[in-house]
Amino acid sequence: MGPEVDVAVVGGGPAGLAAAVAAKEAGAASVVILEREECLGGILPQCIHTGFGLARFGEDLTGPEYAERYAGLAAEAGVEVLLGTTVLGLAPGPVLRAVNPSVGLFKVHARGVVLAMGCRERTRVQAGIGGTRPAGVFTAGVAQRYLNIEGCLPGQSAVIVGSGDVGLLLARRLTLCGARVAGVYEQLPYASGLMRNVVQCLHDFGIPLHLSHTVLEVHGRGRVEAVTVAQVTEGRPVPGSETVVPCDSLVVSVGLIPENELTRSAGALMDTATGGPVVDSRYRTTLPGVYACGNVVHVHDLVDHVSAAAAVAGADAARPAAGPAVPIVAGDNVRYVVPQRLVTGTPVRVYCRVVRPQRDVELAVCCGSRVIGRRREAAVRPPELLCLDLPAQSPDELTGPVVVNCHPREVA
Amino acid sequence: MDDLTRAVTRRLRSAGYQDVAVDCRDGVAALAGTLLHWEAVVEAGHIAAETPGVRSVYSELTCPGVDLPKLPAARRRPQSPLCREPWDVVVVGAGVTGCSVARELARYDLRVIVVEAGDDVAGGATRANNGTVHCGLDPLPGSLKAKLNVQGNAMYPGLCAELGVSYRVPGLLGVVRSADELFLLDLVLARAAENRVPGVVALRGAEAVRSLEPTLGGEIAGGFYSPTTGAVSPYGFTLACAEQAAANGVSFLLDTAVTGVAVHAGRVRGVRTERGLLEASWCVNAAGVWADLIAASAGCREFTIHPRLGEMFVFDVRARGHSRTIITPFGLAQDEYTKGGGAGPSACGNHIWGPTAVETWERRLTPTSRTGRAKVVAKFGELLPGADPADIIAAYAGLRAVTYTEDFHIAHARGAGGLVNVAGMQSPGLAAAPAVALEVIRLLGEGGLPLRLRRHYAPRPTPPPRFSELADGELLQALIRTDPAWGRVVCRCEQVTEAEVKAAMQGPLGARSVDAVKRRTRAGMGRCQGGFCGYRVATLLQERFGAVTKAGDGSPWLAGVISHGT
Repeated sequence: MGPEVDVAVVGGGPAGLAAAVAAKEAGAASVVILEREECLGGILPQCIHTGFGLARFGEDLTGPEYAERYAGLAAEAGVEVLLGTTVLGLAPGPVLRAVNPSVGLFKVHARGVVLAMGCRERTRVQAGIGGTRPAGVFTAGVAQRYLNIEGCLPGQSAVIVGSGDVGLLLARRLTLCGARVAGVYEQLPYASGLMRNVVQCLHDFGIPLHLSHTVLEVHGRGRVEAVTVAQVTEGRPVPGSETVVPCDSLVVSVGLIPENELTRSAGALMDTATGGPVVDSRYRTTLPGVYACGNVVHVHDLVDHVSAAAAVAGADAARPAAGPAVPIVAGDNVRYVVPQRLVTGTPVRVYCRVVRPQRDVELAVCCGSRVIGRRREAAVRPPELLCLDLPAQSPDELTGPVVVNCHPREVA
Repeated sequence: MDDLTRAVTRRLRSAGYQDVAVDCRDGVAALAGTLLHWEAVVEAGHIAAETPGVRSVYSELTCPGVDLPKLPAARRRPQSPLCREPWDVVVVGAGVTGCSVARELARYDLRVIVVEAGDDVAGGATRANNGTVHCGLDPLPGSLKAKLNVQGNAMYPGLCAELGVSYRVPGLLGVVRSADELFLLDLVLARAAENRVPGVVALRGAEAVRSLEPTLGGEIAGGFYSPTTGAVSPYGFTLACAEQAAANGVSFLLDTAVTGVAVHAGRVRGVRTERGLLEASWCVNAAGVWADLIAASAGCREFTIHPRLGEMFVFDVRARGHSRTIITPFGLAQDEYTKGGGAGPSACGNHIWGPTAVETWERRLTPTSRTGRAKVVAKFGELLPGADPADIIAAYAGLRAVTYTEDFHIAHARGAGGLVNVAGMQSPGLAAAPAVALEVIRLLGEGGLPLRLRRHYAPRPTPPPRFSELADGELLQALIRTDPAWGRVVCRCEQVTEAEVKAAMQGPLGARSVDAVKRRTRAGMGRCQGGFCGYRVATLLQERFGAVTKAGDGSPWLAGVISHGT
């Protein structure tokens, strides 16, 4: 690899791989992925369950299979991969500063840099769980890594806090590995993960799901001995509802945070609602030549969406689209919208999440009084990522800001 | 019944404590009995201590549900070869006090060993410190605390430079909210003069305060600024002291609980441990929250520790809305037995808020609580409205080893010649530690320990550089060429390389557990709290030592390997 490339991708997970492949397909001569780990795929290699690739490949794949499929595409396309490589800084140019054991410190100048670092897990402290700090408290991703990659059992009897998908999958995996799962505790009145995972991972294995409950405290000196759980109303524990549940481990599955230290330190404009950078519909950040995609921009629920969005970023990094952009903002019962700016002249997929659960709704994208896209849903929940495809808009038609609303469906 | 016993009894009775048995000898008030609850036990102890003429309080008071404390039960351990050697001085406890004492003892021609129950130095109250090196405004004038705090604070800059430990001096900003309380500033200045705290200035009016900290929120009437309040990594400093002691021949016996002090004919003969008897004529008891029980095992019943829990809350290093100085609200409504904590930058750059102060009989567990967090967030959040509690990445707690006199207890034990108790080391124990060490040496010399300076006093072995602090690209490049592990970043949040983790495991004082690696390298101290690096650190520990624990015996990292049946 020379010090100058067309497209440099930070992170070799599903987003980075899709961006790199798309960049090559769009005509970039030199594309390089800088990946911290010793293998490609990001979190996928430890996601040994199925459910990946239905949209992208029309097949039900496991995480490792999906990663392998994409790694193969990257190799075929001639994407260069630097493993064991940590990116330390991003400067205007854009220029990346990185380090690895074989080259040492080096810089990469690129016409386009694609940020695809993924996300990290929220911790017990961020979930407000107090008590002691013994061994046996794991975030779900760490526990999953131990089970599925290292072949180790993080605990013999576990309590899981949070009903996100990783937590649900882990309840099943722990059970299959011979551990006992005392229960899954979710502080919201509904599960955060996909319904299919609630059924297939909890119901099918007789693992209790305690909605409107959370873990307050961890007990134990050397190793976890028990946790205190309590009922929750309006985000507060109900006094007197505390019970102590014996266990030797606590698995914390309370959400993901986009990893944007690099993005932030480079000075990109951030969206407080998503935790990611503000991007346009070509996934350009506010920094010239710098793109962001995948969980760096907002937390996805399906990897297929990640790949699709990242491909847009990669293609644009290779061959930037022209055209003015207009803001697109969250309206009624919409928490956030990605992208935050619409580039005219190309079709756009808009992603959003709602504020509160709602039944019989219409998701509508409007510019003034003109509806440019709509979609009906029988029910929406905040954890679900909703998407809506918009046809290419001409700049003359988009006269003002675009708003995404989630309204009760009008009875015709 | 002597006069003092009568006086203490009278005070206790008038406070409603009828059933406390009191026996005063040589100024030590011994209390016994059963009270209704723990708060009463603590209050009775304080009432006795405040009686004029009482030098210290030994309390066997208890309450329903609380047994009298005992040293932890000894585990069956193989004998240590160190138990076959003769020693001059055994130091019990490898916290900041014990290690500071060991470092000073290492200057002399003595055989010194430090014995510690935990798997690492600085693993008890020291690691739970917030790292503030107090200036010395808080202790009562004339107290041992006041004297040693101010002396110790003055020693820190030079000592840290000598030890290669980073030392910051953010200063302390006391903020007075209401104009009615501005008269307190005169008391602060008077206290500064009495305790000889240098450079303290009163800030009259909000402008003067805001010129130092422009983003402070709420109403401000004035304040004071004390420029010598510093910040140090309490474990970094303690490890450095221990390493210099070790470089000068001091031995360390870690992961070994002390079961008692052996006394014969009124003199120390040695220290009994789980791994055998360490024969010695001198013992420095720096056992923190256990110091009273260690002393009692030698027949010395002069003081009792009543632990006081303090919770700390650590912000992401990139969190915004914080202060440059260490900030503390200052007014009439102060918590009784804490300075009220502070909010300010640690030596590592993270902002730390706390500690709280909760009386407890529990000596082994250090939980944090929702109430503690809520209190701290409410208290400092008002002053620092730009700080977002969502940026809190870690919470931890420790136990202050408090005596009822609320002062340090540094003295020869009565009835056990050769035993020096260094007890009651609550705040400002960290700030005072270097001066405490000198005081202990003075006492040992006064007691007859021959103190002959060694011809050579080796400096602390130079610690390996830190990747995150190496601004010099060429030096780093050279390091990676010699050892590629310098190019392998293990902890992404704090940018710690595999080479640093491996180096942290080297030597007799090397890390043996995940927490010990964290304290030495910061791997796992960042915003993901070990989510990404925990398993890598555990793997490196396993490769070197086999079993992996979080913090020594009884804290296995994992539950085992997955068995697939047969």
